[in-house]
Amino acid sequence: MNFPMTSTLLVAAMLVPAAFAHTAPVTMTPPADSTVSSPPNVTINFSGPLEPKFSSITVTNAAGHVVNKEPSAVGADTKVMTVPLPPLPPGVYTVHWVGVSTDTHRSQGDYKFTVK
Amino acid sequence: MGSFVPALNIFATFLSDASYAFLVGTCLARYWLRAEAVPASLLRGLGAVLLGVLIVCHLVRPWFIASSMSGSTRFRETLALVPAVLSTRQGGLWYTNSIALAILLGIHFIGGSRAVWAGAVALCALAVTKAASSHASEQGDFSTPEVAQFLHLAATSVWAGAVVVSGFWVVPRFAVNRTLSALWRYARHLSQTVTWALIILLLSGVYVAWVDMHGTLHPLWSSFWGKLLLTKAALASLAIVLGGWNRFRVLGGPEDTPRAATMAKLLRSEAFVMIGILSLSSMLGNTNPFP
Repeated sequence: MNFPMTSTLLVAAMLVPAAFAHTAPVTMTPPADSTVSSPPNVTINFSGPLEPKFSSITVTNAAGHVVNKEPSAVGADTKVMTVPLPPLPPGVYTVHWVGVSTDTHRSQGDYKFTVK
Repeated sequence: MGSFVPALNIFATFLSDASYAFLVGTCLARYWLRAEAVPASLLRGLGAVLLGVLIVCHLVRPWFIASSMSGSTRFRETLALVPAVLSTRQGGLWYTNSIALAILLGIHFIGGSRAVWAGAVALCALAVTKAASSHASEQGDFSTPEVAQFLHLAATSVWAGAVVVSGFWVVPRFAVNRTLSALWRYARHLSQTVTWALIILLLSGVYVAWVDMHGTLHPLWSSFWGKLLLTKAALASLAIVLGGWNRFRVLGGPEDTPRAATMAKLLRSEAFVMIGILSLSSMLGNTNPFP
């Protein structure tokens, strides 16, 4: 790497601000696109700590109705969020998650799993 | 209103960051001028305006946090979420900031012999809470990334604030009313302080950048964030060249009027560049390196 390139990188590095953080799911239980027996809950492990009051998981059935009776909760490990589920009949379910990182930034997404 | 909210948030961040940096610069300038018998009014009015802007930005911040956390841009809906925001970690930091700003306000009106130290502690507290509310706090309070972020923010504010306040406010007025030797003394204080700030900026920035980019330089070339950062790097290089020219070619020479005029011009140019750098910082802080 030549001198101008090295200098640019060094100056770029020294001026980098606190980056915008999007916390995102690292592991999901049940996993995305999996086929499982009725799971007792949905648990998502995120890449960073979550702000509990603004983060959530909802699970809907194929008709779009919310099937979780209780709200989701962030655990003692603030990277983990869980929602308990009642016994689910066979079908395709959609998990909608909202993850708000402690630096206020919000991300969201969906994935599906099938109950056999 | 919806589509304007992200832009408003960036603008509010810029106003807040810039007024904080300029307030730091104002305090440093007052400290350097304490032996020069300069009227306190030279910087007192500027300090009051900057503190006022900082307080207004602070008061509207919970609304922007509520908007960011909820994803809503509707004014009333977001306003209703402010109490919930104030009960989060960000709310705790906001209350801490309120105390620091109240101390600064008290110092401005009351003053006193301990005002310098109380002011320095309050300004440091504002930088600490800013670091604690950033991505760097993910590994916990007082973690190495958070401490590095605090040092980085503080050094950036010293550099940008001292240059802008000196370039736009102090040196143009100073040059008219004071002797050349007094101007040179002031410029030496500025140059030495900015050099130390740059060293801290470099060391803390390399570490913070490495953590933020997850150990890869890929986002520098592949994202809008990277392009903003490289533009900022180019501006920073220009500011360093202008500052270096002033330090080694102008300040190092004899004290005469032509050199004083060159010093003022270079410093004003550097101050314009610093405002560009602060603007890009506000955009970078609200842009994702890994879209």
